[in-house]
Amino acid sequence: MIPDLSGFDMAGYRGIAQEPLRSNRVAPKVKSSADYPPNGDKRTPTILEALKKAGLRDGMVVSTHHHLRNGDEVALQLFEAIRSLGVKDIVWFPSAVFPCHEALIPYLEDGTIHHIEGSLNGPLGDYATEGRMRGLAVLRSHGNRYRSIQDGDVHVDIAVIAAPSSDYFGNCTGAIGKSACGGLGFAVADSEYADHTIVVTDNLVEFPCVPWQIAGNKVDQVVELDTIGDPNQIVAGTTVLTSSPERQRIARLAAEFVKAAGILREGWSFQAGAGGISLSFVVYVQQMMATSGIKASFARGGSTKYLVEMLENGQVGAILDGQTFDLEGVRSIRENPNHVMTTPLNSYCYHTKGNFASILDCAVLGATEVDINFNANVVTHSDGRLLHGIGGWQDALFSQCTILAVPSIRNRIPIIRDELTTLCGPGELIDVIVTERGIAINPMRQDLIDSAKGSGLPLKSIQEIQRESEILAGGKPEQFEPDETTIGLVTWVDGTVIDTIRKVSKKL
Amino acid sequence: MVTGGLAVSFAVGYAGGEVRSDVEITVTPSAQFSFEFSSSTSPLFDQSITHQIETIAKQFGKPKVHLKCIDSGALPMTWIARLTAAFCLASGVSIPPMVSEKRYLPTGLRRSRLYVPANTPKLIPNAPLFRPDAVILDLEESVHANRKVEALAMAAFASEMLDWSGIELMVRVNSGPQGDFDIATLAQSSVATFILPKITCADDVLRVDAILDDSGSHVRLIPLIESALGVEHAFEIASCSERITALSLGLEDYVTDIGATRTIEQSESSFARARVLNAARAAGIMPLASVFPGFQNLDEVEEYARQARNAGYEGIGCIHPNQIDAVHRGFCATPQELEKANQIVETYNSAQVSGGGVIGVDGSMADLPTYLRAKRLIEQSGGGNLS
Repeated sequence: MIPDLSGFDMAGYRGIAQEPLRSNRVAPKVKSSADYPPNGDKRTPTILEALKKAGLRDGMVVSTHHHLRNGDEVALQLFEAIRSLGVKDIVWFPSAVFPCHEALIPYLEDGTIHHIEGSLNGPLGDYATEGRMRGLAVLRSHGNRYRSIQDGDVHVDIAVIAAPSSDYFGNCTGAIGKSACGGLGFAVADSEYADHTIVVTDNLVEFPCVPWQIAGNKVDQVVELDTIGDPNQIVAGTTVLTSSPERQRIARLAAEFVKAAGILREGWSFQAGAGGISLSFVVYVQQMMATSGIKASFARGGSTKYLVEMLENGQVGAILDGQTFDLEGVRSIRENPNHVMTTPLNSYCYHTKGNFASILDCAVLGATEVDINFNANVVTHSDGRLLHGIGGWQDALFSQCTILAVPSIRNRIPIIRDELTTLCGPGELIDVIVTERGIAINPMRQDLIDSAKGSGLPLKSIQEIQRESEILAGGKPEQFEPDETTIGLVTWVDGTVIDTIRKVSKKL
Repeated sequence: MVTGGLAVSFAVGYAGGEVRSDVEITVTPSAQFSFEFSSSTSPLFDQSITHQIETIAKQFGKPKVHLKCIDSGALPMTWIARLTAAFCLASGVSIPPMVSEKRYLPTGLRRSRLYVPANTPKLIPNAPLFRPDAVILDLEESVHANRKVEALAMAAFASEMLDWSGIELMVRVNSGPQGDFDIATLAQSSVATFILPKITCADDVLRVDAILDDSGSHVRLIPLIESALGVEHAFEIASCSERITALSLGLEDYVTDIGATRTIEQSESSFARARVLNAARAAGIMPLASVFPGFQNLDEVEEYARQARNAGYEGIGCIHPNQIDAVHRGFCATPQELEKANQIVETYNSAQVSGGGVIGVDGSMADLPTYLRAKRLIEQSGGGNLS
């Protein structure tokens, strides 16, 4: 299933666990304190001046990060400044994009941005899918983004880090300030490896900003802005559980499965995000753990008030936090020493000395499609359009038991397909599919099959679930042939290309 | 039922906003048949949708209309129902009777009856997954007065195209003339039971009974008493037809009718609950309690079900799938109750074999009524769709 990569300077997928293609990490430039103000004050009045000082020129790689999520107002201010300087063909290297970034389409169209190297969705996803973006969308997981920087696949010329609080030296944190967002873990790689790092903040605090999440020694300049984001869009007041009975059923079946399979036991660990099903899964396991007195050693997330509750009542020993989704998460990461910000290096990066993902007993994830061999897609819709970023999805597949908790049918489209539209994750890492119609265990996991036997759970083959959903849908989806033009590459955690994404015509 | 030719545009189904799994079809007069559609599933089911529209249009003789269809992922069942409703309304004819060979064997339990609005197709296909003892496709209160025809089409095709194994499929029909259309359309379908709303006297039931007899229908009836007058006539209603399999009480309307307010303690309806239950038992049919209006606090739901069970009722109505497990728990005996019931049944059966008379279990008398109660409790706890 290695995609045709002729014409691309990238290696094809070689399997889930191969030797790195390079033997050394890249080394960032050596900097001297002589080049920085002795009083530590690195402030520059505007982004525009900061970009000039950084030596911005055509074709550079400029990175931003998504911890402000849909409330991000930095990317737009950044590209407005770049446009006003007349600089063209910037490669934007975000850690993720959100619907708010639709406002950047005019900057792609006028040539300020050449292309986006990262996962795309929403209007930007459509823009790329329809072949309107000049360069390739290279999709990477969070861990792979870190790896791509440290291995030298991507050289970041200028990193712009949105910091909810910073001092004049560049010590900064996301835990406090009017735009508090929790952790700044996604920006750490850029701060380590970029040629030039600019921190922008709307809350300049006195030196030292403690405890800092990114040390000012990694920062070249600090720019104070009126605002870096809309607090209402950065974190939700509270994360809301799904009200869909079908999705609640999926979450409950997933929770009952981990109990029946013996995964939910004293000292276990799990990862579940803030999506509707994942959040409900956390609530169900919380209830089960309360009843049985079981405690988890740690949880990874996307932290939410539900994980925080478990931490505070002793049901979870620690939260290893990749990003923070609600106000309770922000409060907890600020106040609780057992709620720890992690970076993609700690949690996910494949080219390092182990990571947290494989230690997890269980990860509950979503998917847009699964095939009958348990391979899965998370980035495109079945019509070929870019729908989601990879996020930490590929990285978390390395958990001891990966559960994809998905509806068997979404608006008539069966999720279980004979063949995927886009391959993102190999079936040998995907252990269980939980749908509202039943639970399918990967035949490669005989241990899970044996332990769930006799549990009373609706265990079915993946083909049975596929058949049931196809009967409802009136058959298999019809074949369609996308354009020959490749518009994106889906990369695996080691940087090889696992699949390509092709152009799809605009939907009428 | 609308009759007469098409003069103005109209629409069936819904689109836009949060609508999912439905298709809105706007019908306008035209010199010849034509159609257009946009679909959220495009291009994955474009050929299938085109084929379905053309096939059903042909069945209706390709009326002189233009169809504009906005699809948000409707299943084929929904497409057929919406197209049928559109063509029937355009042609001024009734929804054709659904004639089915399918007959599903009910479990005999009616602890939970899940109401599903028949005009909300998104909610229908997954209703059986939650394992209620019965699903009620509702044509009455949950359907807007202008949407009765399309809801009826949806109920008809849902009854035929979905698998209702292990579940008693019920339809709450309308009262009055629309109810007659509902009954005529579904009398030969796979629907097992009609819920007849707002029944006040035996004649209300007998009129329906006669229609069903004329069509040779197998469908059974559950009268729903929702008024002071209906409560007064409870036994007469319960015993007027052999099609009647249970008697149900609708408290929301009843409480309004007597000028009271519904409370959690239910003291305002104690008379009606006792009267309806007694009438049902006297007529030898199953008494069914009203719906519980809340679905967030499942402990309250379970307690309501337990109280209904203790009072002698055999089931309650559910308005949300979340209630079902709690209801089943409420109708289940506790382990202690179950142990005692098993002991009573065992001891009673042994006494029958040995020719003994009244026997004692745990210091209490265990006669025939005690035995029957114990047996029912075991059935409610162990049979059917226990979660």
